[in-house]
Amino acid sequence: MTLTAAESMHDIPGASVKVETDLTIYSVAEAKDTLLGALAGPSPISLDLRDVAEVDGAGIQLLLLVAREAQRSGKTVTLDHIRQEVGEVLGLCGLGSVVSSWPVPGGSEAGAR
Amino acid sequence: MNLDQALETFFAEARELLQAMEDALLASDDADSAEDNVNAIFRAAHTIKGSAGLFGLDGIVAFTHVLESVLDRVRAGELGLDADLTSLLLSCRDQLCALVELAAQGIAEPDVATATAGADLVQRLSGYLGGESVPVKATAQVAQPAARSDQVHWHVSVRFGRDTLRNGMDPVSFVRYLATLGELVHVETIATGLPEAAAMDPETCYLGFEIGLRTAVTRERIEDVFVFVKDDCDLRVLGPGNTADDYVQLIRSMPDEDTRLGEILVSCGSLSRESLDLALEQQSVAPKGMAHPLGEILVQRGTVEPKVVEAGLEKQRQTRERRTQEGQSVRVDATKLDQLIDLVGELVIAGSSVGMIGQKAGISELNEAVSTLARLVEGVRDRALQLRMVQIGGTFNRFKRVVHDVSRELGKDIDLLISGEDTELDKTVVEQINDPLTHLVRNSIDHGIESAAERATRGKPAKGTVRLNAYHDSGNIVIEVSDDGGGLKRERILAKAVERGLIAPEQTLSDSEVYDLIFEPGFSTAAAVTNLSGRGVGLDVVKRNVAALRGSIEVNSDEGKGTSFKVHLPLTLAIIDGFLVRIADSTFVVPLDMVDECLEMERGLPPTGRDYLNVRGQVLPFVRLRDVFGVAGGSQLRQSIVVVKQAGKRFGLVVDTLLGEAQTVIKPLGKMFQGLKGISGSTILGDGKVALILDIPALVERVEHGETATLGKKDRLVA
Amino acid sequence: MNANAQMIAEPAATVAESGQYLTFLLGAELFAIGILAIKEIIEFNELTTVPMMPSCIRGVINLRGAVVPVVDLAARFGREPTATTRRTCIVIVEVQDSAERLVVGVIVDAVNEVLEIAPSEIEPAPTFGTRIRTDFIRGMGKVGGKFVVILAVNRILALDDVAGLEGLQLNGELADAAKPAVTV
Repeated sequence: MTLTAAESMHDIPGASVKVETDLTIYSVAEAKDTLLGALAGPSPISLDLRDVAEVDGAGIQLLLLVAREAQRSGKTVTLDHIRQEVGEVLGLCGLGSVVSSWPVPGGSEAGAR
Repeated sequence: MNLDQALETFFAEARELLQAMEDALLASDDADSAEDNVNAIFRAAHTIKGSAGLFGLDGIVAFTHVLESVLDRVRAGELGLDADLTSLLLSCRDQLCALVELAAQGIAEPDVATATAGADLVQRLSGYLGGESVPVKATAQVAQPAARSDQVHWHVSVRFGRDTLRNGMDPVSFVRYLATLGELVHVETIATGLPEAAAMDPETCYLGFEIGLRTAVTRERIEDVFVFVKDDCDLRVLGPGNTADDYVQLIRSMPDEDTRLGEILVSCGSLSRESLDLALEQQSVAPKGMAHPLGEILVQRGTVEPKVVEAGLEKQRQTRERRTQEGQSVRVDATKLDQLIDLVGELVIAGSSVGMIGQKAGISELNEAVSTLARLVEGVRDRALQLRMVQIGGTFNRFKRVVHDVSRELGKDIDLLISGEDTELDKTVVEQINDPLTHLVRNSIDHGIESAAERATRGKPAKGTVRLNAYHDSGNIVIEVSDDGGGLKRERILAKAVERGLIAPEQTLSDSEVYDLIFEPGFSTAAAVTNLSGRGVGLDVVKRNVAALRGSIEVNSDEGKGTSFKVHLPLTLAIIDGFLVRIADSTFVVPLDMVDECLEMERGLPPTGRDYLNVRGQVLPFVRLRDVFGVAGGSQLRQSIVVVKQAGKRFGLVVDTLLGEAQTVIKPLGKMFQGLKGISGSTILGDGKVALILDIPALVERVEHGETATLGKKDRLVA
Repeated sequence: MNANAQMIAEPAATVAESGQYLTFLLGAELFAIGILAIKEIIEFNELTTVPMMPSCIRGVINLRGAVVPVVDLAARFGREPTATTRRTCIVIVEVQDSAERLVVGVIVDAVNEVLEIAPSEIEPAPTFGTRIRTDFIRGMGKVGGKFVVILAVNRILALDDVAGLEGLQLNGELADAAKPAVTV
């Protein structure tokens, strides 16, 4: 079971925003503006996390804030290209299911394989 | 990622798949997407089986395997998905749900009831497999390490202090460390403390966790994990030695999270569903302002699409509102309310009699005081009457089931559209309108909506529509029951009416007169007698019931396009705006909403035998109430006519004197007057005298029956 | 007399079914009603006639805010309706119907007095000779060598044959109500 997924997100129209800093206490202050700014784009908004190597509690709560704001404005936000280390933290926080719910080619094969 | 997390993912996914399975099963009678639905059902079962095998959930695998075998045959077209199989599959889905939830709580062995239900379902499923034995093929590849017996369940609830992050602590690291002590059953990140986006400081900590943990370590060890933030966080560790009450207290201590926290405790396996329900029941008044209801969290976590959640959220909000409202309202015995309304009615009468005395005495100060008093009394009365007002939505919603059941019974596909459900009317009216409405709705489904084939030839959608609508219209409430069916067939009604001797063959009738014939006793045009209607007991009963509520019913129809019944009802049965008239020495009340105009007959009435007038070029038939009521003595020279309008017709009531308008409190006449037609009740006038309220629809009926003698089954006019 | 008669209602509640009766006149004949059924006695004035009802139902009155039907006993017995005089009274009785308590006014020519009639002094109703339906009579009380007709109020005011017009055809005494229809 890995948490890398959603290669297929590219063919879905919507905004894709690459997050270029880690999401930790040291960088969340600037990340906040980037992430909330990303919400201005058309839904679904893809947050490309391929360059995010580390997430901590500060990053988690920032992602939750973004998710809440997106939901309030009726948009969908997906997290893409999650690195294993980041996925592990998400999983630890009981947020692992965000990974499994992404569209995966061949639907029925989704899940723990 | 560790196995627990993967397992967690599995449960979340399984729940989704089971929901999809249920949706597909419920939609399985939809021919257009039958194949898609079958595939969806199969895919759900197949995926659950596969994933469950991965986690060594053998019970789920075994059960799903049998289910999958049957579904495979359905998919291959060997088995038809009929109503019986659908309901069996629905039961299987429920069973699967139960198994998954048990597994999610860490219960490997289902309880006896669940196990028995499972065995029974497997038995029934086997019936669809042509008797071949069902080998249970376990596909487990990864064995779940058996829970060590020395591990016990703990619940850790923690809310970090605002400065946690700035102090160099990472909340996540505590969870990571807890994971090393044992097995994380479930983790929920609590972010309800998150302020508005603009106000949110990314370096301030708003996080908390609810964690279910199986471990062999002691409470102290668990608490020690948080030693560095101990002074700055809200930590509760519950486990062996804690009672359900402690959990309840935990729930109560977090008012912002409300019921959601309870759900989390259940998810964490820390609290049983029963204890939670108990806890919620005990929670007296639901605290207001929950920042993050469950649905939002689900969206945040990306488990559910916002659209799906919207409906759920709305429902939850309503439930919450209702609960809050309940907290603020007082249940009152209906009879106490009735007593209050009676008393208020007395007050109105007493007030107006004081008013009359004041008028006679001519004391202006008294009159002023009386008019203030009257205004207040009126206010009190209006408020008192409002207490009995209820929304009609509850009644309407009950028809969803009626439509579902009846349309199934008749093999018709019918949608029920409801509007105006927040229209309010008197509780007594609501209670009594249910039966007539049921009849009308059934009538629409049975006689109104055509068969699918017939609809197709008319170019209508296969699915029929029945609409229920309610609105206020000048002091009345109108309830509409309409359908997009075949409409009333004028010729057939006429033929039937002639056959039944209701009308003469040569009679020419307007459309509305023809349509009104369907309300005649013993009238039914249905070619085939169905289980529901068409037995000739029907619309006449509806009309009678509606009339008993001082209401009226009219029908409009467009042949081939549909029929609409409009039921007009008074808002309340307790008060009536009346027009007072005198006949001999008695006072009568004509409901004001039926009065069209008044005519003074300066030159007297036409001689007996000609009971109509020429009013501005229109024929106005009239009724001599003195005759109808058998009042002795010749008619006066100067009489007046009250022109009333009933079901689109105008006619005159000949009375001795017009007395003017008055609002009066209705006093029902006792049982002794039950059989009396033409008088609907009584009222007490300001001078203490009793006046009788005329029942115009009944009078109309009388007059019409008198004119077309063939209509009268028996002579009911007794003077 | 009328004013005094109102006093009777008070002690009534405490009297057991021992045999206290209110006697009254209907025409020249003396009748009695068990006192327990009687709520009060009021003067006859202001009565609202209800049209289209048999003549035994004279109409309705306003009894302190309640609309109470008034039955003409004489008409109920198939006699000429009571002509009202200064002494005409309405006896308000309460009877128990199958489901509810029913308050009804009964018109009498004049109220006499409250009498004690011992059960031993009450004879069963004769099957004929009173010109009143036997089931309306509870018994014949002997008072000072004369007979008083003790009425079965429940039966007389029973709804099943007073209520509605359907019942009229069944009752010979009420034939006067079943006049030919007036069609308009």
